[in-house]
Amino acid sequence: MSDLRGPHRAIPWTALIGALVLLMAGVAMALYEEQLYQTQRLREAREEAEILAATEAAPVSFRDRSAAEEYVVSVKVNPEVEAVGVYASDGALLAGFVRDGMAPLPKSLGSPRPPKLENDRVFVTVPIVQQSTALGTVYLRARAEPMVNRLLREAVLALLVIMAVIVIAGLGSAQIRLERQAARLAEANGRLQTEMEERAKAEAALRQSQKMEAIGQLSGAIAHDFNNLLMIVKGNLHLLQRKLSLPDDDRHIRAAMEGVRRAASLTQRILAFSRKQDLSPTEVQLSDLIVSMDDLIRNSLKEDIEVVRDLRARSWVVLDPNQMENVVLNLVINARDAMPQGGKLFVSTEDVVITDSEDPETAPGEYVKLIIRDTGIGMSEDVRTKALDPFFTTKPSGQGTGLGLSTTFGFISQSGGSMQIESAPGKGTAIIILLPRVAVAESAKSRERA
Amino acid sequence: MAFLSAEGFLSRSPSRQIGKRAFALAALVVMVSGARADELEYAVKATYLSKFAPFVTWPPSATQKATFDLCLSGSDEVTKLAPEATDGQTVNGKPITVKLLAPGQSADGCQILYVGTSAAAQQELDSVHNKPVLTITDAATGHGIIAFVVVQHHVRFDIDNGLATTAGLSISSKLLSLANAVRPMMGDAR
Repeated sequence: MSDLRGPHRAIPWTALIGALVLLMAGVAMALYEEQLYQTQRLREAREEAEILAATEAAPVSFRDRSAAEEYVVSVKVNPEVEAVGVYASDGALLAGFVRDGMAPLPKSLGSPRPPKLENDRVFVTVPIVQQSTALGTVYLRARAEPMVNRLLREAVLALLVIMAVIVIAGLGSAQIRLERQAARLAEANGRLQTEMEERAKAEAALRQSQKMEAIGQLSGAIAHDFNNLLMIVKGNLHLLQRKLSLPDDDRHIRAAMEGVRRAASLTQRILAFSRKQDLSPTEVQLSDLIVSMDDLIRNSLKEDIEVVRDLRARSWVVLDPNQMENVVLNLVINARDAMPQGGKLFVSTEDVVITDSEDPETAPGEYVKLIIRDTGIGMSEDVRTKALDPFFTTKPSGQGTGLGLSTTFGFISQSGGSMQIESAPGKGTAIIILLPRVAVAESAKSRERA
Repeated sequence: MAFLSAEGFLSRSPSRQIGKRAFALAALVVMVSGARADELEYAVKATYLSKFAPFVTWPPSATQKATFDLCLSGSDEVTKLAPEATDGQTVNGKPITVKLLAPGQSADGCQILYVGTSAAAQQELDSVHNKPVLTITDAATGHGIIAFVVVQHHVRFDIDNGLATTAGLSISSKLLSLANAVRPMMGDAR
């Protein structure tokens, strides 16, 4: 359909060629008609003259004027005959007639002349022969259909041809218009389809975020109260230890304190997911932060995993560096668990500018992009969409809390950033985090470097 | 006022003398009569002798010769003028040969026999009446297949088609239509 666009396709080639063929056929037909008419008219005149010549043989031979005139008169009946002359063998005019106002007959006529059609008149001369003896000549001049009439007839034909050409051209261009319209409709339909899909996606995303919001609020409130209750338990455990003069390594006290510590850790993570944790944001250069974590990352990975770093981002972001370290560590451990047979871990940062069209879920602006990608088993689409849900885990019961990615998401969101997961079964997983850049005074940068 | 149709009559003929004379006389016929008019009449008749030939079909046996024989019998003005009037003419590509027949000489082998004024004219005609010979006479002289008559100062001719059939000749309807009179049957119209 796209090839039909553009002004040069206003009339399709097929229609043009058809019109041309029609025109040429029309001209050829007109020429043929004219030729046919001339031949036929000359033949008619010649036949008439031959009939007269046959009857005039004896009168010419014996120079019988009155008999010759009688036969000539019979030709006069034909109104198209303008003049007839019967000439003796010596070329002298014996008999003949000329209609009023017409050109006179030749005074004498020797040998027969070739027939011709001239000035809308046919001229023929026919020898009078009796038993191979030439006795004289018959001259006949007759009106032909005027050239104007013939041209008019051809003109009617030409008009019909032109009309046919116009109809063809009209049909052709109408078809093109229709095709263009169809193309536009298809395009509009495609856009509508895309918009509908995007809207469905946006609605799903909205529902998801509302669900997370509700869970977050609920769990955040519980965690908060629970944390306070834990503080009461912890304080009273200390008091109880002192009151009973128990040593620090008393088994029961230690177990109870350990339980309290783990419970507090859990509540902390729930608070993180619900974006209600207390953060200490500061200006951080992400690339440097990851470099400083080098040992930590390597220690948490097995030997069969190769780490590939590509840290190009030089811009600054504002976030809690300790929590960010937890996030990176968390993601690295996830990647490790996705690669039980070993593989490669890519960690990259870069400064990016998001324009309006690139990502509908991210506001246009300047960002630092962090990608942590593994070559592991990947996730199915179903798992991928649920990965950020709290308490969703693919690990065996007791090995994961299902809070890792959801707390990461909570922290990133609380820091003003966004997070995406790209994954497919067997194709590995990439976690893409966008964090808004901030302008930092030069002094701050140098301080950081120092 | 006679012989208006004879103007330019013999101009195709190589015999310019007769032609000129005939033409000159034609111009004078209005004023001149008598012997001169008669002379023109004979000239016309002499010229006519060979002009019948294209309108007559002879049986194949009669046209085997290389020449076309025009025989003249008897003696009158026509027989005198005929050799000149037909000189150089052809019939179906054969040159016309004029033969003057002595009295009593057979006309066998002639295609055309003109019988002029003669006491034995009718006998001569009868001698070839069933032979393929086109006999021409003056109406006053005898009864041939073709007989010259003068009608209103014009030289015309009668045709006896019956005689022609007996002779084995076929005469074109074109010629018949020009004849002064046609006798369809052979009869005793002498």
